[in-house]
Amino acid sequence: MLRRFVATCLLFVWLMPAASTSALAQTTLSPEMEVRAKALFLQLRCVVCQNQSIGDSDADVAKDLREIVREQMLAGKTDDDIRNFLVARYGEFILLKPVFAWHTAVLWLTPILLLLVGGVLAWRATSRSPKSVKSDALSKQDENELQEILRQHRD
Amino acid sequence: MLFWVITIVMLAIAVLSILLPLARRVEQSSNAVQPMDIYVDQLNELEAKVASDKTAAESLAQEKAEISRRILKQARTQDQITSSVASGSIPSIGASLIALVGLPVIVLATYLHTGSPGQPDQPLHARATANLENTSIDEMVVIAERHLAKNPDDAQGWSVLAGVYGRMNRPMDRARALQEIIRISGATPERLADLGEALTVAGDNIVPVRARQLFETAFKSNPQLAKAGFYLAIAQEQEGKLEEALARWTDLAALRVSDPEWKSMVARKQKEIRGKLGLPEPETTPNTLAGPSAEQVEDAANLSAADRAEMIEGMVANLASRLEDNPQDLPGWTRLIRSYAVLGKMDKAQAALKKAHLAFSNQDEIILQLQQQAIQLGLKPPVSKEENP
Amino acid sequence: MIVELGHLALVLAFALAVVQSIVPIWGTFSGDRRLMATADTSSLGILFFVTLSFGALMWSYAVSDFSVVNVWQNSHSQMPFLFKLTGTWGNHEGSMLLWVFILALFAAAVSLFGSALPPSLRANVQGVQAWLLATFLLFILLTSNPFARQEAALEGQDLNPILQDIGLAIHPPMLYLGYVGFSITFAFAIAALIDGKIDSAWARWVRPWTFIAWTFLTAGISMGSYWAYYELGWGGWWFWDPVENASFLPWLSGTALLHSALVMEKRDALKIWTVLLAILTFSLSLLGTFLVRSGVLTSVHTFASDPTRGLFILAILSAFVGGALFLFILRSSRLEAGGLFAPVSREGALVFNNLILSAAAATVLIGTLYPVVYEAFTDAKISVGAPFFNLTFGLVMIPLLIAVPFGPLLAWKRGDLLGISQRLMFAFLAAILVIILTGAFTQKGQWLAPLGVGLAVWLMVGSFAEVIQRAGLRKATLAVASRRLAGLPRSVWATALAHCGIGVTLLGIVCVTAFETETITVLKPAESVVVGEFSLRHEGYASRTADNYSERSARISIFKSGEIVAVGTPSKRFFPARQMPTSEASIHTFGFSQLYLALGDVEGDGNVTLRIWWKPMILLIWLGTVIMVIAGVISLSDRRLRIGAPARRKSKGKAASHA
Repeated sequence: MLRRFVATCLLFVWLMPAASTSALAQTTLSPEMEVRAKALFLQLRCVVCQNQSIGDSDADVAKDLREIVREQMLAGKTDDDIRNFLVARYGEFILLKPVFAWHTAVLWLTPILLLLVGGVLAWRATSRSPKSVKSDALSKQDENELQEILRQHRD
Repeated sequence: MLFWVITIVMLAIAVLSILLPLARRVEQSSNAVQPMDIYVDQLNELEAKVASDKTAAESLAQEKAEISRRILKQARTQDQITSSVASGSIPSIGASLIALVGLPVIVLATYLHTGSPGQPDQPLHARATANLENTSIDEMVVIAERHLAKNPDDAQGWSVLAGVYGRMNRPMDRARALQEIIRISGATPERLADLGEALTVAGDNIVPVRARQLFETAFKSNPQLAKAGFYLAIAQEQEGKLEEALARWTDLAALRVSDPEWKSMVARKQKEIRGKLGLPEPETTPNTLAGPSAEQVEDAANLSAADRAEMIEGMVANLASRLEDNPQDLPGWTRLIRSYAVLGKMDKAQAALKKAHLAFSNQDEIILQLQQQAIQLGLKPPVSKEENP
Repeated sequence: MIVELGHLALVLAFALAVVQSIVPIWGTFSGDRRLMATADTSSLGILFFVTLSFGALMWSYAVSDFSVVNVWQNSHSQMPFLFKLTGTWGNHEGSMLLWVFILALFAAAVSLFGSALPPSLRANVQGVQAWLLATFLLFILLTSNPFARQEAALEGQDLNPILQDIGLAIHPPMLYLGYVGFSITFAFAIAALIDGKIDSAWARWVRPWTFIAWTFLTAGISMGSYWAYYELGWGGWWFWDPVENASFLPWLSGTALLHSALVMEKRDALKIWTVLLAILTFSLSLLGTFLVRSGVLTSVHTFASDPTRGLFILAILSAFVGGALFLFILRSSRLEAGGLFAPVSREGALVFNNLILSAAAATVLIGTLYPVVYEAFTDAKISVGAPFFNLTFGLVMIPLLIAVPFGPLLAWKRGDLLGISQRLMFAFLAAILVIILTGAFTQKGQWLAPLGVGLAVWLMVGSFAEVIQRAGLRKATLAVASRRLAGLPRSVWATALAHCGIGVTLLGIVCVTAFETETITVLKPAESVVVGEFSLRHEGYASRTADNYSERSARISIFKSGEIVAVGTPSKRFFPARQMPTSEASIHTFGFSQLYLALGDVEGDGNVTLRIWWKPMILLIWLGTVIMVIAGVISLSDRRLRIGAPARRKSKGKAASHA
């Protein structure tokens, strides 16, 4: 049933060129603002799509969201204001870059922790005393034995 | 049968792939590379490097010492690998048993559980030639679709399929078929309206924008197209433009449509919208006589003689059939009898007179009126009820 | 009958794999060479039967046998023949069969080309491979049987239109060759742990197999990226999609493995770490399979989801990874520490490489899994998308990219940083020059782009420092130098090329990210739009119907300085059987850059909405990966990695003296 409905919707999207929303912006921004808006688009998830930002998606929801961002920007809101507004409306799901907070600390800090711990371990595994790095030449006896082995081997 | 023969052959191959190595003698001195070979190779490589780059000799000396130690260590701890084991030892008997018994048991148990050994292959071409008897409507649709996929310009085929889809309540498919027809044979108002209808049905009877455009195009080129007008009115109503919808319904009421339910539906719609708008019912309630509207008369005037006759005849037939259902309608009978007489169909006029007489047989006053009319029109007056027990 | 024989062959392969799981390893424990030798023939038998089975499935796709549920679900009689065939692995069941087919291919490769391996190591490796084969064959037979039958249906349900593309024909097999290729290094690690012998010889035996897997995986990921770029129709080439991450993770740890195995071979050091990496790399491949196949993550590429399968794969994953790690802990204490080295040394540089790559892999892993785990615990959803990965992954990787040219120049044990810096001065100067030049041509405030370009040039030029040094290009005459160049070990060339390839890819990434332009416009017929130095004119649009889809396309003439240089036909397709629209982009190459046209809405009056991207230097992204693949092939051809072929000749007949 749902599948049928979805299929119908898809077909409609395809068949209906003069649908309400268009890929084109209805709100026009100044060039500087447009650059800001485009950067912000890439940080917001198209909520119905699979892992696409609203800047990349052609879905109607993405178009609507782009329009909302533009309108808010025109109204003088900062990027943070707009993000907060959208989070209040759609939840944190909309942010492709999660906020840094207690519930995401593990996510953000793991790479740094790993680098630190790994770095310390690696540093300790190396030897900084020049002597220990140098290995002495073979003793005379060993050298003879080696030559014997090699002679046998290379025959 | 062949299947089981091949099964046994395949089983044999599998079993032999285990048994053959078990039966063979394995060379003791294999050509395997031992760690020692690798270390010696490393040493050789290093010596070549030293030879080519004298400056690096000092730093490479340490590396050389390290590899040399590795070689010494390997030589001193060289472990003996694999003693030869006589054939017939416990492991090889065990392995043979696993191959001979375990393997076929696993195969048969698993396959008989998951497989369908008897089922033949059914490739497409083998099935496509099957006869059409006993095929369900769904299957025939599939066959038709396949035919049309190969011959996409078969307009006839598409139109049959469009009808079938409509009946099967597959409006999207119907829309697709209608689009094909339009692509092949061009757009007529009727086809556009049909396509719009299919899209509307698919959209749960909400008229989508695209369908609306289709209806408008269709209606513009043929204002008599009741279907297009109907959906336009519905669309306007759905958009909340009730006044416009009402105006359109009023216009539609004037269309000549053979569907007997059309008029009542239009009337009902008008009433409904008036109700929504809070408008009073118009003073002149729709005349049950349903005489020709002004437009119809005007239309009739513009028609050719033959067309006009046809139009009048149609109206007369309508009236007659309505009187069959609802005989207690004196003005109707009067008009019908007069119409027949004017058209020169005296026998039909006479028959109608007789029916009217029967319908009002117990009302003397009305019978008197009918008799007077009959005399005026030159018909034989109906006999009185005394003479007709 | 062919279908059923294919099914039977699959069962036979399973049974043989079960036998091979037991017999060869029993042989190594009892010291019976004949038991060990069974693996050589039985692994060929498994490959034979899996091939039969795969062939039978392909045949039923070719003839549209809709009595096979799998064919019915994923094919359609009207599909072009090529896509009928490639549809074989365009679905869960078929792709799992392909997975196992490649697993069997690698197992057979060890039998055919591994004759130089010590017999007990080989038998153990083959045994471990058989465990993998048996488990995955059982998984297929029990939960994802491609040979399940039904009453023949009249028409199939069609293949997902996105997958009806030539890219699908090549991309998954290539990716699987990489993914599954790491099963060999895994098997080597487990075999060595069983044997208890892990030394520099082991590293030498493992490295060629690692190179094979790494090369295929690099090619597979690169192809997948290009496929998504031109097929999904919105110009993205890397999405940090969970499925992409799933293939990228083994690549990162596999790259680390290549480098740490080098230390192990040369210095007998980092043994524990290398074995752990070998286990982790394949575990990440398995994790990737789990993520993609279980439907735990929904993403662009996922086309299969079923919790029972997910649980089964999770069980496989836990059994193999858990078992391997347990064995590792049991044995690792017995491993001796290897050679010592100073922090500034070749080993030090390779450890640095491993540290960064592991941290990068951990970053990607946690970013991929965090939303799933978070949702499981809190029932709330968060997203971790491209901005997160670009930031964290980029920051982690930059130190490594800066360090790459130093690595090959450093001496083993103790290096001379100052002397090397002098040798790299020319690369440094080149980078500075490019930074200044790029900076002059970019807008103010975009200071990242010139630095990125500079880093890329540093990598590209600096990677050849070792070649230049070893050929003595500065002092020697041309003739001497060219003779030396020809005489250089191939591995030197391979290292230089691979590192240079990373620089080329980086250059492409930086250019596209910084200088890409996007234009969205509505064009009336005969109307034009100017994009950079191009002018695009709409010439009208057309509709057509193909076998299994209908298409609308716009004709766009592309002019450059008044002359027509290309005609583009971006289009939208509609697949009625799946009721699914797709977008077909029109891509035009100018040098390394591309003009990318995607069709938006088509209005009744002939107006079309176009999205036009100018993607400067984008082809360098994939060109860099091609260079890396070539480097992989070259290093495989290095004499030293051909598994001791010359050494074997020498030692023949002398084996007894060692044995």
